[in-house]
Amino acid sequence: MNVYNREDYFAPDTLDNFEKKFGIKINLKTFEDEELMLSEIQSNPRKFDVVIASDNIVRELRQTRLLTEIDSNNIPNLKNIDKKFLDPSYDPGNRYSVPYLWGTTGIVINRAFIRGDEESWAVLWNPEYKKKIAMLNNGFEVIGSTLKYLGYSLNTSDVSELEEAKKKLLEQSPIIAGYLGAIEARNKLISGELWAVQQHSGEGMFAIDENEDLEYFIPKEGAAIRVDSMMIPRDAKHKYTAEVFINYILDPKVSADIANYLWYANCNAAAAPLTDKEILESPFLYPDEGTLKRCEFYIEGNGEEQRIKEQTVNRIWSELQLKRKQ
Amino acid sequence: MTKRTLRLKITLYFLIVALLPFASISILTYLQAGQSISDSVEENLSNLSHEIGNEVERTVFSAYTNIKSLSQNPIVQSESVNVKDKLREMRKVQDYYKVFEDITLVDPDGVVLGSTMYDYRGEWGAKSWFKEAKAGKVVVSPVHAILSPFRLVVIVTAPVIGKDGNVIAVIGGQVNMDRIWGITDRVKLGRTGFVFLTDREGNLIACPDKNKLLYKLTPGSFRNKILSGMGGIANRLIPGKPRQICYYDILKGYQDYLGQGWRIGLMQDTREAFSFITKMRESMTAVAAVGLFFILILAGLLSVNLTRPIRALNKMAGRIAEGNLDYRLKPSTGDEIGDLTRAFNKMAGDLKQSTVSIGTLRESEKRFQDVAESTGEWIWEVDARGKYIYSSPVVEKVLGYKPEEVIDKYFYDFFQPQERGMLKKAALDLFAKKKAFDKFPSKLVKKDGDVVEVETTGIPIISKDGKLLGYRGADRDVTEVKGAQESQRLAQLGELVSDMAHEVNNPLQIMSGRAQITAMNKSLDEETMESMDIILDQCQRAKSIVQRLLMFSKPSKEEVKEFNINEAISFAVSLIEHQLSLKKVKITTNFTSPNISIKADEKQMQEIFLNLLRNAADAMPEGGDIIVSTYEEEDKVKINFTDTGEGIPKENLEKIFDPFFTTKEQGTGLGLSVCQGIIRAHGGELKYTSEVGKGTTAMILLPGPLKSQV
Repeated sequence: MNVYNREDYFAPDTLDNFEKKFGIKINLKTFEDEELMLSEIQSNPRKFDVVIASDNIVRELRQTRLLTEIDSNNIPNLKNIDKKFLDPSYDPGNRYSVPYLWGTTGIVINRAFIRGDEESWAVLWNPEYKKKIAMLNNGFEVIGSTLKYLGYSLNTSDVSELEEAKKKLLEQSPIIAGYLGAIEARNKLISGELWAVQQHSGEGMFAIDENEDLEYFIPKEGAAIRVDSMMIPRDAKHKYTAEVFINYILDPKVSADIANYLWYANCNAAAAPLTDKEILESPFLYPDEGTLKRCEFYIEGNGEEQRIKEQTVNRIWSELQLKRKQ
Repeated sequence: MTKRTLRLKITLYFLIVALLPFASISILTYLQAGQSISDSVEENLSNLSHEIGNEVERTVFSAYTNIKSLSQNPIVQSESVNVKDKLREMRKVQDYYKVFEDITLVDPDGVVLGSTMYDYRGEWGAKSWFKEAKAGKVVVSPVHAILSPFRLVVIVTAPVIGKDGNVIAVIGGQVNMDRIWGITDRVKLGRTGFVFLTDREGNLIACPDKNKLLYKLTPGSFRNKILSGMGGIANRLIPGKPRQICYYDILKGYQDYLGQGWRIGLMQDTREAFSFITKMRESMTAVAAVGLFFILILAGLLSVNLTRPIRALNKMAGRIAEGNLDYRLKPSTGDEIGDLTRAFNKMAGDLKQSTVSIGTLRESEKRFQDVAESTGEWIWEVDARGKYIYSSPVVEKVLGYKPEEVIDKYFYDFFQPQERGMLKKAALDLFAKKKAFDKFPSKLVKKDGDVVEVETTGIPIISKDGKLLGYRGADRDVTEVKGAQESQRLAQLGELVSDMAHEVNNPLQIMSGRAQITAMNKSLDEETMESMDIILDQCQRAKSIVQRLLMFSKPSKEEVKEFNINEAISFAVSLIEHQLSLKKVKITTNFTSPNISIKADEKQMQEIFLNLLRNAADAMPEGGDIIVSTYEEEDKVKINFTDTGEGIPKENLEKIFDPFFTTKEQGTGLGLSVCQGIIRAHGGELKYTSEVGKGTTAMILLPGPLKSQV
C-alpha cells in the first residue's frame, strides 16, 4: 500500500505497527509542498492509496474528481472523531475525507532575535528582519494570512481585497527568504537561520521543542484553522486496505501516539485520555475561545465567487512566484 | 355432434397442414433476418465507433503535432526573444489551429513563464507531463479536471530545445475536452444512443451527462469488458432501466501519436438498436395474424364444403329411418362423396323394395302366428339334433312351460324318465331317415310334474342339398280325449251294470224270499238250517253288491248343501273307529282350521270318507296309523288320508281307479271308481300318492272353501 503524507507527519512507529499488525507493506512517500503533492496525484491518480493533506487540498482534489468515496462501513472508528470536525464545508458529509489532525497557521518567531514586536502579522513585513522571514509555499495560506493581516476574511472573493493582499505581498517579496515548505521552514527556525516564519501550529510546537528560543503565536488579527484529512485517490489500487489503514489511524491509542509525538491538536476525541496533558493544555495547540473566534476555517464560497477567488488567488500566486524568480 | 366433430377435425388437419410450413417459414425468416440484422447493427456500431475514435484521436494528434512544431518554432526556441514575444507567437498558433484554449510556457524549474490565455496555476514541476517533456518527449497528459471554472483538459507538452541542445523550457498546450465532446456528443444514435469515452482506468472522460465525468464506470463485467482493451459487444442491464447494448473498443492513437489507451463505447437501448428487428417482429406478427386469419377462414370453408354433402347424407339417413324411402339426393360431385350419394340413393331404392317383401312376409308370419296361437295344438320346430328352436305359446297350456323355457331344450327332455331312452332312440331313428311322423303317441312330463299324453305329428325340414335341418310339427294333448273315451266307456258299462243288477236283483229277491220261508220251517234238520243261513247270508251279500253296482252306475241324486267338512269327517271316523281299533288301527284327525265349509252331498261324502278309511285300514293288516288332515287352500279344500301301510306298487297306482280293479280277495274293484266319480261330479279330484313300504296318501281336492257370509 502506498501512502503519501507530509514529511514527518506520523509517529515514528505508526507505520511499522500497522505493518506488523496487518502484514501489509507500506510504501511511504512524503512531500513538503502540498502543490507538488497535488500535481503528483493529478499526474497519476492510481499511484497512492492514502494521501493526507489540508482542507484546501481536500477541496481541490474533490472538485477535480481525483478522490474516491470512502466506505464508512469499513471505518467504524469514525465515531471517535470530534463532531465539530465532521461534515465540513470542504467535504460535506465526509464522503471523501476523514479528519486527522488540526491546527492553526500562525507565526513562529525566535525570541532571541525578535523581542519587541507585538503578536501581529506585521512582524513578517518588518524590513528589519530581511531574509530572516519566510512564508509557506501555499498560495492560499500566504494570501489568506495577508487578508487576515489586512483585516479581511480569508474567504473573501472581493477582487479588490485580494488585489490589496497581492500588493502587500509584493511589498514583502524582497525581504522574505522565500516561500518554503513547512518542514524546511521548521528546520530553518530550529537552526536559527530564520527568525519569523508563517507556520502551522504543529510544526511550530515541534520546532519549539527543539529550540527554546522559539515561540508560536496566533497573530492578534486572527489566523486560519486548518484540518488535515486522510483521503483515497480516485484510482487507488488498494482501496479497502486504505480504509483499514484509516480506521487504524483513528484508533485512540494510535491517534494519541501520533499527537503526542507530533505535538498536534487531534480531531480524535477518543484519543484525548491517552494524550499528554501538556499538549491538551497548550494554548497554542488548543487556543482559548477568544482566540479561536479570531480564527477562520477556509470555507468554500458559492460557485461564481469561488471561481473568481480561486482564479485570482492562482493568478496572484503565479505572479508572486514569478516575482520571486526574477 | 358428428358433423361438428368432423368439421373440427378437418379444420384442425387443415390448420396443421397449412400452419406447419407457414410457421416454419416465418420462424426461419425471423431468425435469419434477426441474426443478419443483429450482425449488421453490430457492424454499423463498429464502423461508427472506428469513425468517431479516429476523429477523436486525430484531434488529439493535431494538438500533439501543433505543440511539437511550436516547440521547434525558432522564436520560441530563441533564447534572446522575451517571453511576451514568445507568447505572441504561441497565440498565433493557438488562434490558427483552434485546438488549444491556452498555451503555457514553463521554465525547466516548473515556474510558469507565461501563458496565452489564463494565469495558469503555479505548480508544474511535479506534473508527469512536465517532467516527461523536460526529459525530451512530446507528451499528452491524462485527462484531468482543472478548476475555476471546472473543466476537463488534456495538456500536450513538448520540450523547447535551446541552441546547446538543452531543454530551455517546456510548452504545454491545454486542450479543453469539450473539443472532444464536440465529436462524441454530435453523434446521433437514435433517441437513446450516445457515445462515451473513458480513460484507461475506466473513468468517464466524455459522455452526454457531464455530471458523470471522471467518475468510474460501475465495477463489474461491463467495465471489465470495456477495459479489456479489445473491441466487442456488451450488454448492460441496470435494474429499472431498459437493457442497453454497447459496442466498445480501444482507441489506438493516430500516426506517430500512440494514444492514451482511451476506450470508446457506443451505447444504445437494445430495443432501439434492434428496432428494425422489433419492427420486423411487429410486421411479421401482423402478416402471421392476417395469414392465420385467412387460413382459419379457408379451413372453415373447406370443412363446411366437405361436410355439407355428408350432412345431406346424414339427413337422408334420418328420413329413411323415419320411413321416407322416396327421399333422394342429387349427387353434386363426381368424387367419392358423389359415389356415396349414389350408393345411398340405390340403398334407399333397394330398401323400399325390400320393405314391400318384408311387409308380405310379416303378413304371412302373422297369419301363421294367429293360427299357431288359436289352434289347441302346440306348434314347434326343432333342429336336426332335436333342439327346440321355435315353440308356439300353446306349449304353456300343454306343458305349463312358457315358449322361451322350451327353446334350446331337446324334445326328449320332456319324456318320462322311464320311457326317455326308448322314445329318444325311436325318434332319432326317424330323424335319421328324415321321415315324417303322424300321431306319434307319448307321455310328457309337465312343469308341475303331471303327465300329459300327446300325439306328435312332424315333417322334416330338408335343405336344398338334402340335409336334414330339423323338424316342424305339432303336439296335441290327447289326455282329455282319452278321458272322454273313458267316460263314454263307463257310461256304457254303467248302463250294462244297471241292467244286469236289475236282472240279478229279481232272482235274488226270489231266492232270498224262498230261503227265508224255508228257514221258518222248524222241522228242518240242523244241517239244512245251517245251509239256509248260509244261503240267506250270501243272498244278503249279493244284494249288497248289486246295490253298489247300482250306485256306481247311477249315482244317487245329489243333495247338495253346505256343511263343515271337519264334522263330516269326525262322524265318519266315529262310525268306524271302534271296528278299526280291533285291527290295531288308530285314526287321528288333524284339522288345520276348525270350520271348513264346503257345498256338497254330505251323505255321498260320508260314503267316500268311510271307503277311504276302510281302504287305508286294509292296507295295514298288522295295524298302524291313519291321519286325516284337512286344509283350506286358496280355492280348494284338501283332505288327506295318510296311512302307514305297505303302499301301492307303481304299476298298480295307475289302475286303482279302473272299475273292477282290486287286489283284495273280496273286493269289487268299484270303490275307488265310485269315489272318483262322485268327487269329479262335485268338480273335484281324487289323487293317490304312494311309496311302497312307507304308506299311501289319498288326497281329495274339492272346490271351496265357502266363506262365511255375514
